[in-house]
Amino acid sequence: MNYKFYILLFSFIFSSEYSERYYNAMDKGIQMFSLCETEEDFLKTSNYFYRISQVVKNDWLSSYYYAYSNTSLSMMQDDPDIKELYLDKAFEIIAPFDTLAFEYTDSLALSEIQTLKALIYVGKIFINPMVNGMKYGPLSEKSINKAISYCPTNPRPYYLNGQSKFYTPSAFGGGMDKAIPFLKKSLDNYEIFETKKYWPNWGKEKCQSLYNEAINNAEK
Amino acid sequence: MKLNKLIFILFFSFMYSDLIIGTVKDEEGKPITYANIYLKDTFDGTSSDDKGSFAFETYETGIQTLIVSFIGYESFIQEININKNITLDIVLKELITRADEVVITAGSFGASDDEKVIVLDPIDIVTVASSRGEISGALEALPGTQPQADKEGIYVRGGDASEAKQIVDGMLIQNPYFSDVPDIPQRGRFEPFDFQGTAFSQGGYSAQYGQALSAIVDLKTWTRFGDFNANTFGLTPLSLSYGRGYGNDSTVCGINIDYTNIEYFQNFNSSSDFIKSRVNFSKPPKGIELKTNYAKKFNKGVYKYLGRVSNYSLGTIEDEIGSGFNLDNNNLFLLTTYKGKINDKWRAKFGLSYSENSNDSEISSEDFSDPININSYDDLLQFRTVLTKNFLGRSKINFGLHLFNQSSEFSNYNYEFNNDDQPEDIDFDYNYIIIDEFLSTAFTEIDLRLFKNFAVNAGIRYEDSKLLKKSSFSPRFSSAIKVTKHSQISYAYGQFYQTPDMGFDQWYRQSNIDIDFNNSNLDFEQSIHNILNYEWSKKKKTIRFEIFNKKYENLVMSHELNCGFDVCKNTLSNDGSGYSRGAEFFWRSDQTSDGVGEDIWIAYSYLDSKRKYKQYSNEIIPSFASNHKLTFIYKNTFKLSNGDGFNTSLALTGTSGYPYYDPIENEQFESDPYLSFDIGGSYLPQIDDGFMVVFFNISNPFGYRNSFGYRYIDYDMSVLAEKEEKLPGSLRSVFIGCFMFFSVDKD
Repeated sequence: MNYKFYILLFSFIFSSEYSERYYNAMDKGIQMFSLCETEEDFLKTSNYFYRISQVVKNDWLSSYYYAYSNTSLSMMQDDPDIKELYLDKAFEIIAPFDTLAFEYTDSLALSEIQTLKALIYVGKIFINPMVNGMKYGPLSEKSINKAISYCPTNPRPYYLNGQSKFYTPSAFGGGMDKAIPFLKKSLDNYEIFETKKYWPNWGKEKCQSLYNEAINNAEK
Repeated sequence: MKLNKLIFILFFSFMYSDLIIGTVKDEEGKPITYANIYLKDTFDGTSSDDKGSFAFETYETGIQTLIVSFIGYESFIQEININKNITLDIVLKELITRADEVVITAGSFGASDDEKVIVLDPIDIVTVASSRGEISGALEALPGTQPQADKEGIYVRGGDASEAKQIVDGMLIQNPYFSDVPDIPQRGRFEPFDFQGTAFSQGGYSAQYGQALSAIVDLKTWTRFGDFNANTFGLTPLSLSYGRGYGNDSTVCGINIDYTNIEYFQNFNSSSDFIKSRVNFSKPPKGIELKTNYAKKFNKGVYKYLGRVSNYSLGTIEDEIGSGFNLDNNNLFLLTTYKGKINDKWRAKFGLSYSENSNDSEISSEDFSDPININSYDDLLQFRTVLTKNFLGRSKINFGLHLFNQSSEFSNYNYEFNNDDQPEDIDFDYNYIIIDEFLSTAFTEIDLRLFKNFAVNAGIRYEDSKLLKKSSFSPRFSSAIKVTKHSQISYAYGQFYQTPDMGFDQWYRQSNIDIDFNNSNLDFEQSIHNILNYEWSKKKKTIRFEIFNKKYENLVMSHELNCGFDVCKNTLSNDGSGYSRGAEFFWRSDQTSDGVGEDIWIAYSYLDSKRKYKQYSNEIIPSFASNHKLTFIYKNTFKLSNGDGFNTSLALTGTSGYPYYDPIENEQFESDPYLSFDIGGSYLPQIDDGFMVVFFNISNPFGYRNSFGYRYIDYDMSVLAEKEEKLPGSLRSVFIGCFMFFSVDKD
């Protein structure tokens, strides 16, 4: 009896300590993430979340922030090989969460993960638009559409869609005016969208500023 | 109680922490900042600081796995026993990334891997100030090539223009340039923006390529799908063009019309003291061209079609350069290709192409009363297929077949003195010659990439010519080895065969040759290349050295058959031979990112070449083989504050004097050194619904008088005339143009 009690107690202490450490770690990580500006900030944050993701293997959030930081880091590099390596690492870590097999993930999580995948593909296009555009353009679009179908109220896939229209020359089917409906839809969603603790919550300000620029341009 | 004690110990051990401290450096001893240092399966870890130092505490004990990782480096993994504070000095090895993988660079700018490497993209080409907006012009800024004043083509390492072949999507371009006009180099028929990229090989190329003794220019057409519906406009003082393109995710099609008329520009030129045109047109060059394209993406492959049909005419009268000449040219080029996967291991490429070129031309001179008709015609039907199998990771094996059905027709003039060697008794006789050739070629090559730092490509090519009634086997071999992370040494060897250019090279028509062209007893001309190359490159900075030795055998030579007073009838043999050897240096620092920044390169070539060929029965230095060439290219692109782009470029090309051979004195001479200075620029305003570029180019603004030596053979059929200086078409030249592209709204 005693024996069993100790084991129970022990495992309780251990697991509660474990999850408490997880929450503490996430608190600190999200704090770091929200203050990320420079390459160094992102590097530290990327390292930090990587460590968590390697311990709590079924936790998509730490993997998400790791992959997101890497995607930002990729954009900050000069060397195309290094750009690619950051994206490949990001993809490798986030891709397994892509399926419904993970019982912890709900449809919003899947939507966020697809949005991030789309972002990684965009990063690939940036490395060499002429060569990579053909392959990753459609993949990115597919991921965005999936993200929308998983959770139509998620503002981020619309934002990405609007952003890519915004920066595509109109001759190739893009243009600021074409971006407006997507950015508008995204902003509307940002207004009503409620996120959960630790869950992705980025993009609103940038979306607003792109929207303003596009509207100004249309008025001209 | 024992268990209590155990829990106490466990609890205690949780409380007690050890410190792990150390540094992370690379192999050169430089600190690696923000490396990730952690104990496997724990939360314990940290990032290194800007001195590469790190410190973190852990409550873990016993054997733990320490991992240190950083992007671009191999992870460091080591088991450590934590029972006290630990100090570690860690060295991370740099990872060999895909782009660091060895590529065979001997002889080629770019590599044999046809899927990936783009050497010069269209922007690269048009922003080289000396390129004149031409592919061949940009290639002249690389080492190993030489500019020429009197004839179009690319002259590579002591090789004649006919020894360099241009390939588009694997298929030969029979007439890459507008039809030859005596003494005036013609522009290429294809513009830089027709292609996604250009790869250039100056020798030692793979068994995939044949019928070229010196060089291959390999052009890849665009493959881009996506939603667009757009108009294009081009405007220069010489030409007007309009096009319409449409595309979606799986289909692209387009049509384009170009109209060229040099009349206005020529009037301006001849009235301008600045340009000083040396060519006098009786009929200004005028042309119209229709281009169509279509591409469709299937599940497993891509089909492409490309068609061009054009008419072009001009007339020149005898002046400082040029002779009395009239030309009316019609050209057709059709190309279809399919490239796709058969299954996981096998890929296939097919190509079918037809081209047709006809010249209605005549030449007039005081020497003969009526203009002489020198019409010519050629066509080429070709089929090519290549099967590729991947094995052992990135290695592959290719099997290919390329068939050419070629026919060319021309008027061949023979003349002789019919009695007593009196000039007035010259006797003209001409035959309309039809040459039929069926060339079958097959190749196989194996591309071994077992290690990241070592690559081998070995192949063999078989060619059989119905015209020559001869066949040949040519072995090819190349390999490269990485010596450090950023540098490599490669070597290439190959034997190359080429059918004498009888139907196409004007020399054959002008040299009073009296043979049965269809039973000529001639053999393939042959060259053997040995190339050794060292290349260092890091972050778009490149340094390369190359030495080469090229041996020529069986070059076509004319022999005097039947001589009268100063005039000989000639026959042909393969008794010619020669060599080319030299060293080249290339340095480039491309600091552009997102299209903004500086791009500088310096190219130097040393060439030692002699050959006996054509009418030269002793070894001479050919006119396209000056000893030294130095090129300096500077480009700078920047964004103006309003977002508009602006590009400036400068090109400086200097060569030692051009050699020429004086057949009267029987001696070799050299012209004054050649120096060309070009400045160019382009302006890209931001436009809402499209794309616009305005560009200009001024060649030789300071008016340096360039000469390419002298020629002694005049157009009037091998009668030795007075020497004539080879000069560029004008002293200076100015070019301004504008290209626009805007979308049509679908709503």
